Amino acid sequence: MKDERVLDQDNTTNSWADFLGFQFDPFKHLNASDDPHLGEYIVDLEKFIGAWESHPALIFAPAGGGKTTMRIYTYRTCWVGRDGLHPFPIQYYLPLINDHINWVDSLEKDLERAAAYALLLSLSFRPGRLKNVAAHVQEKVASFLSQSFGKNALLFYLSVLEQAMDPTVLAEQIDRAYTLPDTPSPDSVKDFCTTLSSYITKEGTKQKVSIEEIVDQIKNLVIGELKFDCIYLLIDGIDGFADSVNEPQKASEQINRFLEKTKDWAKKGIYIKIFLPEETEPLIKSNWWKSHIHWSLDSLAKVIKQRISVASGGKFGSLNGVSGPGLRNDYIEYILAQNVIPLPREIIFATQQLFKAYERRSNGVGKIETEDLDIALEKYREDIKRRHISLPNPVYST
Amino acid sequence: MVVSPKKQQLLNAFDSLRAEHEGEWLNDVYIRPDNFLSMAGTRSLVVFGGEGSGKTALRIALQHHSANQEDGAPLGIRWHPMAIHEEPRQIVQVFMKQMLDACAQELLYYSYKYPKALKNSMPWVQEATAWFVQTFFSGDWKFELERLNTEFQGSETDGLQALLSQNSRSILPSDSPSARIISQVSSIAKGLGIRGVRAYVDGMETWVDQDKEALIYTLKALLSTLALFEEPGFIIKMMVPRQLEEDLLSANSMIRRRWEIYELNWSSEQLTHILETRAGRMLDKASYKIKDLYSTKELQKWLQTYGGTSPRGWLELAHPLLEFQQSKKEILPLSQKEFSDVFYKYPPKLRIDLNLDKIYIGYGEITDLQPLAKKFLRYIYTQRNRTCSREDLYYKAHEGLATIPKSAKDDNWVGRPQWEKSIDTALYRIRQVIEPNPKIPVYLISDTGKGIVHLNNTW
Repeated sequence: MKDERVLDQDNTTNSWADFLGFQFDPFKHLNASDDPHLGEYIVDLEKFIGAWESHPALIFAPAGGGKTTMRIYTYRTCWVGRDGLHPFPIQYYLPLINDHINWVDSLEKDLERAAAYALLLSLSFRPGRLKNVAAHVQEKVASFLSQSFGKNALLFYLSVLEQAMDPTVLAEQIDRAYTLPDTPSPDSVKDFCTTLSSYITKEGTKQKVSIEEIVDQIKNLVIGELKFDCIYLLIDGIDGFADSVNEPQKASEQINRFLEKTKDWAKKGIYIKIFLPEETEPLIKSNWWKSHIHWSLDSLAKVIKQRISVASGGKFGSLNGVSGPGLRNDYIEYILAQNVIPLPREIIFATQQLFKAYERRSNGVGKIETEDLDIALEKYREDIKRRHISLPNPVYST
Repeated sequence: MVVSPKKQQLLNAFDSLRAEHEGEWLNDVYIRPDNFLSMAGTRSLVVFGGEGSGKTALRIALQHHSANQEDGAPLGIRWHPMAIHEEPRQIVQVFMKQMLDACAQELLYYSYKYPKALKNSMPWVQEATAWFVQTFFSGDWKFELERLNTEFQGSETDGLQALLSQNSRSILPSDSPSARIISQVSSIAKGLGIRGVRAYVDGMETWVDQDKEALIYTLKALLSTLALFEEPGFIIKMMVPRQLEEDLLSANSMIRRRWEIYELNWSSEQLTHILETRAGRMLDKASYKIKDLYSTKELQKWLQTYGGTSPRGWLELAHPLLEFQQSKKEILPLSQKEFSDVFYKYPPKLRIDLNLDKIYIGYGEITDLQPLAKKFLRYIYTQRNRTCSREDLYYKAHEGLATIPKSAKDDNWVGRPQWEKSIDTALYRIRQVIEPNPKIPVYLISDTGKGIVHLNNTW
């Protein structure tokens, strides 16, 4: 009976990575939000410069084509290695479980809550941003959070931070997409909690406000008081719902309603960056800046090469650096790219199979050989066959 | 057959062959399919398996494997899918409600079974656990606490009721997205030292028969909701009847690799191993081989023909043989006559799936019938409560007439010599394919001299 090694995505020790002298396994995570190194190996960034400029943007990509990766990267880019004036990113998730059929019907509540989570989680990772503002601003932040979450929920979140002394624990509870590298010291986290708690005295009365009032409140707090440059509202996941995934028409109607309602927000410094399935593009009525995530052989090969480079600390620039004589003259990334569905997750999956085949065969001796590549591609083909997917133009050559 | 009570009890274990009724001993005899360890990994997955392929046994084995890992067990919950006649959004809501209720039940039970886990956890974990149970337990959580307190009475559980009854703050709004609630459950589990949550989804066969389309719709709605598959600490393992495979593989999350796909298939070698292991365990023998029952080659061929590729099929077929063997004074392999006698006494049943137009004997599919022969067999099967004449077969089965013309004066009447031979040839061909010995038919029986046939041993 065949018994395969566990395809364990959470295995903390990766033998092949150790064998080949890598600092970590850059192919461990298929989900972008799980990868702490994501920001280090995003490819073709120059195409998406517009996504990080101060204007609204529509970014289109195929299913599995990297929308979430770009969204998370955009979030982290705003924070990592930047002090002072930079955009404040808010990750906005479209409502799933509520009674509203139209997303815009719950926009006030959803936007307020999204901004509150962004403030709480982002500032917990960078507590200095709260510490260095005036007391009245700190009070306004606390008041906003309390108004949005409710006093008790906010106190609970602060208790989690205080007890865990690590904002990663809170981010894992609420939204791991807010996880940032370089966690702050336990003392600074404690100070953060103490500061906010001191302003939470009573339950605020929630008044019904309009979406424009919410937008102004957020703008005044984040840009006016906390002195961020502007706000990026990062919207993703439109094709993650059962009732819109196969119906781009339906999804597009929702998006167009949303764009209509938010069309003037840019004037207030709130720039919406919305990551959309490419099927919706013909149906979206907007003249916003647009970009398309498209995966060519070159860009797919880069997905692998950059990961190899980062994980090896620059020692290797491609798979050839870790290949034996049988493969040394072949452009392995291109062979993989030619033989997978043209999406980054697919080539990462195929590369996972390559390293697993290497690990099983070699047990740490030698490097990647032709038979490992053969097995990897065979495993990949078996897998997509199981999924009843046809490879557009299967090619296999070494 | 006379079998001792002990042995009868043991043989009864071959009767049920429903994993959910087989108890703890299943773990001792379970043979892992290919890729078992991969299936047991930390990714959500769907396993497609045919009838009797062992989906439930696999689910139980995966649960057992998870529960016995050195680095701790996950929180295992079960969800029995049902056909939900709602919009996809509501389907997901119903699913979430049921899953979260199951999580709340398991958290309560876990807290009492391992009281130190909750007592020694951080205060926020205790509070979050209390909040979660009070919010998502669909029954009366206070009553359940009382019950558990009584069941697990002891000094170690002192204080648990108070911890779980505490007035907790409302941690998440009631209309929070499913992704957020799932993250919260995972965090609580992690805080209690539990290795995530595993949701096992099984038991869809009933719905496949009753309302297949609605079940497909329900499952597609779930599989298309990516938020359900993005939390690493929350993993769904779903066992699905193979009939649903084609429809489900069009779900969006398939292309995104949010979940792995496996097919539950068994080779003849594996099925032989399953039979030998189970028989050996049942008969208290350290090693039991198929040759101990009957000629290996013959028996394997017979099992492949009538057992198909299904563990249940092989075990059901083997049961009467084992029972007979154990009833003998001296336990020896069966002779050819004995084997034949048992077969004729307990033949595998013939069944036709009229929707899919497939013919089975036991669990083995019959594929060699010519179209005309198949047509006749189908007709006889639909009339299996009575006998069929040759006229029935010609006029009704072949010509599609509602009634048989009585004479040459009637429309559609055709002289007997023009069709009688083809009917006889078709019946001959049917017997050649389906009967183990066409000269001694088990299934298609002719009433000699009367020109009529009927089917025996059918489902």
